[in-house]
Amino acid sequence: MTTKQTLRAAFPSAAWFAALQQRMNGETERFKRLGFADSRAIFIVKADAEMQRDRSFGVVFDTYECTEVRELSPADAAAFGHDWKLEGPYGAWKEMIENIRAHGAADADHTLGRLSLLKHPFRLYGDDQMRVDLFYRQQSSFQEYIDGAAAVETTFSP
Amino acid sequence: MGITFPTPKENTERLRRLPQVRRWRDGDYTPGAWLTAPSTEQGGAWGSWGNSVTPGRRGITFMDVNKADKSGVPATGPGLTVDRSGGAAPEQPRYQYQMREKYECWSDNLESLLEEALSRQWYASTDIPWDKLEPLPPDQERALCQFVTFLHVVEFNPTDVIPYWMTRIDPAFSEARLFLATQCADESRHMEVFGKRLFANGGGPGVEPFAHAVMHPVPPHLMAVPQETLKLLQGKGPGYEFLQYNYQTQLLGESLVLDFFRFGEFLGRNPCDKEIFRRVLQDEARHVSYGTMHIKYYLEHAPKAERERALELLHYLAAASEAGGAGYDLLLNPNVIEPFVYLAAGSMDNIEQGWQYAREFWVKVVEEYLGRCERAGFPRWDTCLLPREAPF
Amino acid sequence: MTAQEPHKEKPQRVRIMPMKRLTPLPLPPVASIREKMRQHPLAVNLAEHTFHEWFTTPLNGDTWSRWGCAAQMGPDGLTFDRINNVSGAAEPSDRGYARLRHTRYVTLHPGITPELSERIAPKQAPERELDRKYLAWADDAGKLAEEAMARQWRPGLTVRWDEMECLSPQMERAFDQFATYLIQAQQFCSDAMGPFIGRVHYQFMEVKTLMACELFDYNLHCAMLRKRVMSNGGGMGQQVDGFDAGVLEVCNEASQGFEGFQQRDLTGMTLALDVLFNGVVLDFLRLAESAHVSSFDRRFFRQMQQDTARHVAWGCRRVKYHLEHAPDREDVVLRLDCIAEQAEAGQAAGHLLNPQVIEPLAVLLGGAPEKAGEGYAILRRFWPQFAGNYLARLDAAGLPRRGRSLIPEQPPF
Repeated sequence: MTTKQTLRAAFPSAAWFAALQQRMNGETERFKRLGFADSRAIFIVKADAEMQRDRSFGVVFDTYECTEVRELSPADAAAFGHDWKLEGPYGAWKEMIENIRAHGAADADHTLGRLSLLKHPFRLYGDDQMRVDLFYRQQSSFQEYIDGAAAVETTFSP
Repeated sequence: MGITFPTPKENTERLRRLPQVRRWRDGDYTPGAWLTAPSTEQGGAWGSWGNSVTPGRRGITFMDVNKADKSGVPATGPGLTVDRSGGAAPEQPRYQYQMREKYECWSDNLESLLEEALSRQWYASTDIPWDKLEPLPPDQERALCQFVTFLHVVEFNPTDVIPYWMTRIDPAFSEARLFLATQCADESRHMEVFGKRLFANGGGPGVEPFAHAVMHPVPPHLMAVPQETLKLLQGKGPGYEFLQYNYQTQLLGESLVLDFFRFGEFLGRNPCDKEIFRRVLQDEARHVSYGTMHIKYYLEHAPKAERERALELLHYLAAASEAGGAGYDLLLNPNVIEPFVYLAAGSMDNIEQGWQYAREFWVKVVEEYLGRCERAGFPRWDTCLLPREAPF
Repeated sequence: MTAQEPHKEKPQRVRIMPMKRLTPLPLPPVASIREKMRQHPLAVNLAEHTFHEWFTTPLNGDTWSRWGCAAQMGPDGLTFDRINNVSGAAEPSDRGYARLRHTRYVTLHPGITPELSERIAPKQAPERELDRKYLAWADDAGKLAEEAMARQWRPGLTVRWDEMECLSPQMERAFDQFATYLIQAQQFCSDAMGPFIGRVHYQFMEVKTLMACELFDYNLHCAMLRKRVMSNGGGMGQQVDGFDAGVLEVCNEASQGFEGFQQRDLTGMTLALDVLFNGVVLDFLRLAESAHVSSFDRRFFRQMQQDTARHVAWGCRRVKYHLEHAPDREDVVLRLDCIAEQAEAGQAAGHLLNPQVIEPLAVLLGGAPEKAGEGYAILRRFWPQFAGNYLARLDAAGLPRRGRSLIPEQPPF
């Protein structure tokens, strides 16, 4: 099932991650086939030549849904209680999102696993290796969540 | 067998003389003590009573059930054949399960890992988008199939041995048995899915992955760990304690293979290959998580003398395994690393880039392994024998 | 024994070899280890950045055996059968090869001569114990394995816990006691058959896969039943003793506690456990499904039946294959008959007439403890099916026991 509603949002913004949330929560049956996903994730868009300051977004996955999305200040981020953080420069995020939009899902060079494996351009990390391992344990669900960008008309406003 | 059995007629007569059968034949259907016996808590033979759980968004989980169960998980199993929270009359038999201490099998994240494992089972024949497989350039298909040949050969091994420990675990720790059963199903599916991938895109199985080690064994004078020690470690099978297996396979071996899978996802060139590696790495990450957190539980809950012995054993196993077959040799297997390099490069024109990727991969593998050792409670940052940088 | 006497613990019922502890041998000094690691031939080779045999071997059907052979996916996905058809190894050969942990898909390296191969292979390895086709294989093993995986219960998708219904306290107690027995039965099966998986040679990978599924099924049933029992106002019941009578002894005899190196009797174990024991469990599940339970509980029993029926089918096919292909068929028939007698004698008394199993089932069938008599009436009418189904399965497996079976054809009560 795909959502018929057209979703529009600017990237990076809480609204953009919320659009992915909306799509995920509208497709519970599909996510059920992948299994539970339980993570407190922080997605970080790092400043680069196109963007001046880092932006962080806390996203909570619970069972088959995304239950919370919010932008985090540095103080909020410290208190968020993350399991893992996925961080990449704005340019890499933009390329990934455009790729997902163009192909309907990330192509071979733009999956979260591919982008983060060698710590560049994305980096996956956390304070506790076991909690970082949650990302690997439930990766299909997170990839599906991000692939939701295919259905979001994204404007880029760094 | 030397046993004489009755004839069918004699047997029927024997059965008719059983006390309960005589009672039923007399029309006495009064249920036995099970219907009215008080619970264990009240000194009776019934197990537990009055457990209620309201289903949540994920149904009913083991976390919910255990929260509601007043009896809790005992530190030592009672030796009953009934599942935990069950009861028994005093005259009913007890058994000496070989693993009857909670610390021998438990981990703090066991229930949630079990739930995750149950909810993330998949079916290789139809959950993988085989129809999205695309023809690869011949050398890439060759490299991928060589890598997959190795995985196909090694993946089932845990399913061969885990059931022995499952059988030894006191039923009071049923979650440990159940989780290990999910791992058996996972590993079996991995052998299956890699076997299927070999033939799905025209590549076929590659060179026997350990043939080089047979034909060109490391000469004794260059062996970092003596032959006798390696032989000793190869005896890590089900005849040995579970802790040893947990380090060598669940923490070290599965940890390295998890990274191989992650690299496989990185290298996959189409949605089918990506999905295969994504699915198997999810499974593998659970096994690593259990292995790591079980060792942590063991070290935190075993009696002091046992804890000290375990710690010494773990460091010994780690030193010998890092330098030997399960660690260094595995990471140097040319039938794994070379295909990696080729796939990462994409072609011979770019091959140095492929080697660079493999070196970066090595650093990350060792770092994550060390992170897990630390989490398990036996940090090896300063003592690890695996080089932090790739030797190539 | 009186209630006051301390418990005398017995060895665990399913025999399994004891666990040893490793006695470490001293390691060389760290500096020496590190130096030799630096000189490791594989490290030196890799540092040369040249590719080895896997890259240079011709794709001509020798070492790289099946280049260009691609299986086509069908409506049932990419199944073992579809792969096997192009693998060049559709059927396993009669004897497993010396390299113990390779499936038959991978061509053995021609550079390793048969002599070298024998020299390096452990002579006493678990996989050698069941390396003959007649000892481990079954016709359509691939199809059975696919069915096991395709129909595997996915509780996350199919169990709707919010539809669980409260039962009256007495009916809940009857349900819980019956479920407690089922959990024990499933655990027993898992314990008895699980360690056999590692004894089957990799040549028979479909059988290994099928057995891994079976092991998972048993444990999944335990998991789901435990949740059910521990969440609906009741709880885990009283330990049931004796339901494994006859079968336990056969399984222990078949495995010899997995000690030492010897041929294990997979067929004897499957005859007792899958054909007889699981056949009885299957019939009990059918009865329970038709009892006065909620529709939620009924779906539970139905799902378990599907899985259990597969286990029975595997057992029948295993026995059949063995009987059809064993070189010493007459001896095998004698041995299996003896095993069947032992298992039947124990099961008739300890399982089919076990009051801790039959009583709660009769209450569930009758609808209340005071209506247990109606439940017994149903059990009496049903009884010929216990014997009949079992005998029909043995007929199909080629081990007819009509007129000799120790499972009475009519109810003894």
